[in-house]
Amino acid sequence: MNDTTPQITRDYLVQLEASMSGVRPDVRAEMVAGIREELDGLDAAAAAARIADLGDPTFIAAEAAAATESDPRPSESPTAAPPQPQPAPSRALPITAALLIIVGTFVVPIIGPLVGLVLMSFSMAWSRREKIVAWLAPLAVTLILATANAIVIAMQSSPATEARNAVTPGLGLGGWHLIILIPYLVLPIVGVVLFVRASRRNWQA
Amino acid sequence: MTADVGTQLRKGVVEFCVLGLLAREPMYGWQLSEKLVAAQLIASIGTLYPMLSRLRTQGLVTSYDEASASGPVRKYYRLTPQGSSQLETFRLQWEPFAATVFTFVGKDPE
Repeated sequence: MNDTTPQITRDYLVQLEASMSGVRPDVRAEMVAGIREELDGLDAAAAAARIADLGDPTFIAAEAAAATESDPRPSESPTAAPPQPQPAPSRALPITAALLIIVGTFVVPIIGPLVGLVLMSFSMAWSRREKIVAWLAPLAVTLILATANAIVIAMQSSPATEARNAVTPGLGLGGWHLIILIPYLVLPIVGVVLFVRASRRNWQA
Repeated sequence: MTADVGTQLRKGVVEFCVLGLLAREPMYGWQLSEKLVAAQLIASIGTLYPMLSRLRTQGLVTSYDEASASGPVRKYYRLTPQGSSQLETFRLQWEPFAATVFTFVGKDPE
């Protein structure tokens, strides 16, 4: 192709290449080169006639895509080495992580589940979304309970109930003691959910 | 059986038709395409190049660049010895095969 190439030829080749994005790269390159050779050197009239013979570029591209669909890739020729099977991912890390989240609080409070959550973050057994939810679930539950507790306490200290509360001081929703129980309730549930989800997927995200 | 009969028949033999054409002389893409489209063996040049790529991968066809009589350098395709042998095998089988099929599907003489 040079500056004297007719516009109709340029347009056709541009259209052809754009239509062939779904065709295997090696076939696409060879076909575009072959058609370019065929149009090279033709004046506008001759090129128009040849283009009419070649046909609609989108049709050519669709035919090429359909004809290469079932072909093995060039690198997958019978002589090429068969792809090595991927080694199964180790299950030790995710299982340890899930178990630490479930029972860690009862063994070493705070540190136990924290180590479990950190191990979970490095494991391939869970998606990024699952990891974020696992980290945020205890915090979200804590926040919700603390807010609910504060609201209940504020209501109990209103003038109408103050006199009664003077006798039996209110502790909201069981007081702040309830929040301390969260690691013992929420984290085991989070751990069990993580364990079940990962085991169903053979410990792969 | 629901697919177009012509399409199924073409699929089975069109690669050997390419080998047959190249057995006569080396040809470039457009030359091959023109003949095959005219004979309604392929719908467009879009079917030809994937086929040439397949035949080359199988070692039946090879390509080389050469200046054509009209000027531009073109990529020509020619048969390899393996391609010639494959074509010969097909020739030996085609005629008796076609005759056999005809004994089943041919109309009885009236």
